Amino acid sequence: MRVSRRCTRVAGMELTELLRVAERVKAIDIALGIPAADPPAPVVDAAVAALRAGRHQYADPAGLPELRAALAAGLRRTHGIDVDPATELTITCGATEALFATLLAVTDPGDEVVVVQPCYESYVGMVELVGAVPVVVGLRTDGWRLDPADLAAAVSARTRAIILNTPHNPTGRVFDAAEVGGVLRLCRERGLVCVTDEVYDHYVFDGARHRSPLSLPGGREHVVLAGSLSKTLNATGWRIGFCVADPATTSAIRRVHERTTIGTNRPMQHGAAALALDSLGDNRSWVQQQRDLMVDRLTAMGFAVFRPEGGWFLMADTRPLGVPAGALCRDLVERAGVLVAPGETFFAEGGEDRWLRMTFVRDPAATRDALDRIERFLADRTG
Amino acid sequence: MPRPVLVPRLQPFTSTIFAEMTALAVQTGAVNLGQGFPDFDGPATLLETARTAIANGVNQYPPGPGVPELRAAIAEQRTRYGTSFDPDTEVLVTVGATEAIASCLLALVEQGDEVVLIEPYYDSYAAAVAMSGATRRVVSLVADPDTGRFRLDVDALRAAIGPRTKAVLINSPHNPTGTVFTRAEVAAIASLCIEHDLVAITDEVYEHLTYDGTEHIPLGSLPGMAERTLTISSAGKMFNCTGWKIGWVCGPADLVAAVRAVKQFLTFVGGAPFQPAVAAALRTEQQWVADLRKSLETKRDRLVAGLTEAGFGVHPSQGTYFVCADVRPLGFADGLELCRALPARIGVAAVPVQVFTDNPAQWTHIVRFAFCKRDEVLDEALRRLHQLA
Repeated sequence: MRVSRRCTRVAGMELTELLRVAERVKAIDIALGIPAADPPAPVVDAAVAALRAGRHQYADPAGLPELRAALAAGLRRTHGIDVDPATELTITCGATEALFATLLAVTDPGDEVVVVQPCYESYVGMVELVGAVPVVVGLRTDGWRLDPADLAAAVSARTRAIILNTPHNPTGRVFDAAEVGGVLRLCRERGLVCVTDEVYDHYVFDGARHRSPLSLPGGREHVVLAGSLSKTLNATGWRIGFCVADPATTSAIRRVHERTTIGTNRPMQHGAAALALDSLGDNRSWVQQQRDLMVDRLTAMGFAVFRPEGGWFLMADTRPLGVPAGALCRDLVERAGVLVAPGETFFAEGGEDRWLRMTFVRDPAATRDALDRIERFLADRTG
Repeated sequence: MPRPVLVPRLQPFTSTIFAEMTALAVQTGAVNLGQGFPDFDGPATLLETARTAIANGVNQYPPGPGVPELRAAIAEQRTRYGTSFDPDTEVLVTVGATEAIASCLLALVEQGDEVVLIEPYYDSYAAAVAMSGATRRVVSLVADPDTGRFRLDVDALRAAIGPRTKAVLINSPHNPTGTVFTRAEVAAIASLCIEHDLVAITDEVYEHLTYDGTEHIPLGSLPGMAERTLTISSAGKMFNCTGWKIGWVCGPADLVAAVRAVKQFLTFVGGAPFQPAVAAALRTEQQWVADLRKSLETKRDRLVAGLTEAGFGVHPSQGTYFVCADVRPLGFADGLELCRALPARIGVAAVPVQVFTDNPAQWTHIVRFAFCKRDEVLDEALRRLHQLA
């Protein structure tokens, strides 16, 4: 039986294959961003209460009004972004659906979408799935800086959108005012949609500041913000994402959303509506400590590591160790019992075989154990 | 945004009729027989398992294809039809049937291909075909002159299939007409699929809700169909949890792999704590579903009798949550006009069937009512509808 050409262009996610091996050998997983901590108790209680109260049927496809109101208040308080929850905010099934619906709503087959690499592995597949053409621009590998001039060079007459992700997965960069401003300026000059994925917006470290292009002058006319409470609430399995855009764009996105899922599950929307963003600081400082621990240990083992400014991940460079990353990745799963993500997964094209992505949000004891195993494996190898 | 925002191929798809009618119902305080969601809870096992899952920390990403126990329970449930699926490679959990339909179409068809739909069709079908870039060919159900039952016009279906046709999308039990395709109708579809080498995508979300002893016959259970059929169903209508958004698609491994590749980019995964709950209910709550069917059959009878008494021309429904009624005997011509006026005029919301069609002229006079509501809600709606005569 045949599948569409569009579908055959969409590669399966490479990590999925490694996961199968990891499951077989019971490896410790420090590849996937699955938080060790539970969702906050009030949020869990609210979700359970919703189930007890019989909130089992469809919510408003745009999302539960009280959740939209809570989110709008949160965006105002934490990022200074003013959003009308009735016309500019849509609850989606994770940020994934927000990104998919946005891309489907604003691109036609053959349009180009600029993707910054390394990147979250779904972007390229998503762009191809909607029939658009991904055009890849690399971050500078020394410090993962985004050079707006590189972006400008990639924009053509067919370009319709740029996907930005800050705080950035997999590098841990939090793009600064010049970088974010440069992207938005380019979008304004060339009439592009700036799709910004900010799912890690509550995870910025060392007093750094998260900057959304939506909060900048002129942002409202050009930016679609995809966010999620998965990371904010430590509830990746609840599937509460959201999408912020001006009313006309929101109406377009909702039309797609209503035919993709109709809406995400309702009970968890009641749970998430109980969120109190002010209480999330503790989680951030815990994650920052874990980051330091992991960066320091990997550096001591001989990896070159960029210390993340935000997010849940770091990229460890294997070049100083003189080993290709892909091979090390397989060895670590099969022989050391540790699952890390091969960096190549996050490059659409021309990725060098030198990066490993790891997360510092997993269980601290298991993470320590995983780092011990990596250290032992490297020592045995050289010894 | 700088240009007309929505791309041209999706511009015909405005906000759904359900959103419009539900908003009107809320605004006017009308009894909502428009949207098909039940107003009573699902089985205890289902609810208790979900509560426990959330409270006990089943709150992170489930595996991409769905949790193993749910996939196993789905495969087991499908054995009742004599079909067999490998839970690891032939079952995929989705965010409701809606995501399953969108994923199947995006995986299998594209620009230049044609997909055959039976009208009236569920709102998302045409939109999902448009998202995929394919073109739809539409075949109308026809009312049997003797019984009023909406039946398949096999000749029209044959005529709609051309050299570019890649897939047919079949919904039985059928929303909005309540038609459950007979063995002869299902066999006719199967033989056309085989003759023209088509993929069949079947929406069977009302598989358990058939009345008067009517049997649901999955298209994929017919000889020669297993290898070309993607069967879609969901927990929403089975266990009264439309808001949980747990659906699934079953089919041959190659097709399911393609659908999975697409699905990961639509939503990645569905809600984690609901998956073990649905798995438990599939295994232990079949009696509850049988009772639900009986209760809905009674509700259908109640609504049919009431609508007939109120002066509507009621078409027979053998399944689903819905009954279709002709508004002409009451002196109305246009169901859309009537549905827009009803909430303010008498405080009842219903849905016009013409918006689910490409040939609205044949369907202008038909309105859909949902009976998946508590008896007192149905009675109140009927009391109000009597004022129309």
